[in-house]
Amino acid sequence: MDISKYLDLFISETKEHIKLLNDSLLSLEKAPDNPEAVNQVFRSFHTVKGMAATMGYDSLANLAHRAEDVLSEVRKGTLRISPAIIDYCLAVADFFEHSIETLKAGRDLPPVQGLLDKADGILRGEDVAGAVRERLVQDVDEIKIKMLRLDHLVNLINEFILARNRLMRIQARIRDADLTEMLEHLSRLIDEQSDEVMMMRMLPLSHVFDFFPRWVRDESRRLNKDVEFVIEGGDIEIDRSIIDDLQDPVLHLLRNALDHGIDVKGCIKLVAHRERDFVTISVEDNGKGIELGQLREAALKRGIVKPSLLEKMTDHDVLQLIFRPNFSTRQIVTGLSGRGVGMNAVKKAVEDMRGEIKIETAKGQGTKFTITLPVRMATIKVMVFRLGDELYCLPLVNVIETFNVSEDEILKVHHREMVIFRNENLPVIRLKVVLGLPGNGVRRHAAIVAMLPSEKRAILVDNIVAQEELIVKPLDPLVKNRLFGGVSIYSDGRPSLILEPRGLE
Amino acid sequence: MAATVLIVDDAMFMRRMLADILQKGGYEIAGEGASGKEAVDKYGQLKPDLVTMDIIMPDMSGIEAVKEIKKHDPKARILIVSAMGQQALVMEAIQAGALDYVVKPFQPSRVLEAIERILKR
Repeated sequence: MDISKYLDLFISETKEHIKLLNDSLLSLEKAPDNPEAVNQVFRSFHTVKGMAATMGYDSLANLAHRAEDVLSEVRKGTLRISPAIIDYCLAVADFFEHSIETLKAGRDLPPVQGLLDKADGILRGEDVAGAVRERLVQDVDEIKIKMLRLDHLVNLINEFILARNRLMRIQARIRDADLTEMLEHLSRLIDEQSDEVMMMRMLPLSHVFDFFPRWVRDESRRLNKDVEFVIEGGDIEIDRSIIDDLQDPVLHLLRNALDHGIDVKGCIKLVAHRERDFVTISVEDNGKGIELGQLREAALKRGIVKPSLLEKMTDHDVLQLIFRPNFSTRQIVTGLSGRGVGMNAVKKAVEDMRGEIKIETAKGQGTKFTITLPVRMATIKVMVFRLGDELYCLPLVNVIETFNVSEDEILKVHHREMVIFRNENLPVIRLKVVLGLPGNGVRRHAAIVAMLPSEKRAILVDNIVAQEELIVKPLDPLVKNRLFGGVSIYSDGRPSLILEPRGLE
Repeated sequence: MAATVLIVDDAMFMRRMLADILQKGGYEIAGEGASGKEAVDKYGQLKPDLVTMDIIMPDMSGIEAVKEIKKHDPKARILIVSAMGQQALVMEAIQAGALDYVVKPFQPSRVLEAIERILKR
């Protein structure tokens, strides 16, 4: 019988068991007396053993068999779950993973004797401490090849959207009934197609999150800290291009919480939420919190702000200093955080994903970082508006609604201009003033009610042009500033600068 | 008419392989189950001529499933297909009413021979 045709199935099913093993072992670590978790670990070793033996991977089958023996003793009650046993089983799971990568690469299986000996030690009742594991990087090459194609498809659809938008402009000029109908049909098809491809690009956050429980466990053991780690929202889907870039910043925040937040014992929560077109991902610890006094001192010592300026700064402003380049209050390098890549790198990474990062802290209660990211990346729905002769746009996710406002309706409250809309006082942003454009003396404006990171504002513009789905192109670094996040081509071919909501505050 | 077989194993890998072997051997696959519970349910629905049964499975073990199936149909013909190292459990399954067993990893011919033997009884 030709066994090789079962290789893919063997690999995918073994992977499922590796995941089951990791999950069950981590839950056993918290509750060693959980019989269902013990049974699951036993079954996974047993199933992998059967499959490996059938495939003719004898060394792998032997290892699984021996691990199953260890779990058999646990089931019988002659062995008790101990950190050493969990370490051992995790090491076996790692070995499975490593073996799969080796098989995929068409190489021979790695030697297994060390792990067999360790099992013998455990079965003899020795405490086999410190089973050394290497972190085995997941190989996702296979997916990447497909994703390249998908990226290409997204580009093609973006071209479609551009062509459709142009066609709509032409239609607005010639107003042909048949063309209108055809165009509507075409629009629907393109929208559907675009949605479909966007969905194909989405991956659950668990793709990144699944790696963390194990990492937190290993690191907290290394640091001798007792850390409970909670994950929520791993099933929330987000664009793949964001997933890829998410691991490092989140890992950095977890490191931060482990290293600076938690003292000896505590809890770290990694929670994702979906809110409209945004996903928020927060890393929260119940540790020491950030000492603002120390922050002020450190900022002075490093010359990050002038003493006169620092005096005037609010606690909120002082807290933002940790996002400045080269800022760290850590005196000793711990081997984890504090190695030069500071919070500044995290902020930059998040902003590169068109996201935001916020920090909240309370002394003695803990620190919470919240990253807010758009769910989708490749195209952006914007509101296009005019200032003088130029077109600008604002991401539609930030737009709540629009209304018309005259100068008489703008009130001055404590040097701040406000306008009342739907019983709410909205601070006014005169965009022309912000951008340094000449005014034209008109007394009526269009106002865009926009949700900026900190509050709702009314942004005054000359007039609203349209809502469109446009493709974002990055701005040349020479032109780039805090006010503009990118540039896009409007359907009539004119460039239009995309306002960066963060920059307007 | 070809005899029908219900394949029960929690690993899809094993089910696929067994299905390939049995189909080449001229049997018809009545259905597949991934747990003891599914085995009992599907046996009731499909009334296959024979069941291949794994032992270690989530959601009711193969042994429990053998007992349950035998309770409803004392004539049920069940072949245990289990990984090495579970001799005691295999014996328990035979006592519960399974007719024979094959140990994984198996030779395809070994599975087919065992099935032929059982169906001739």
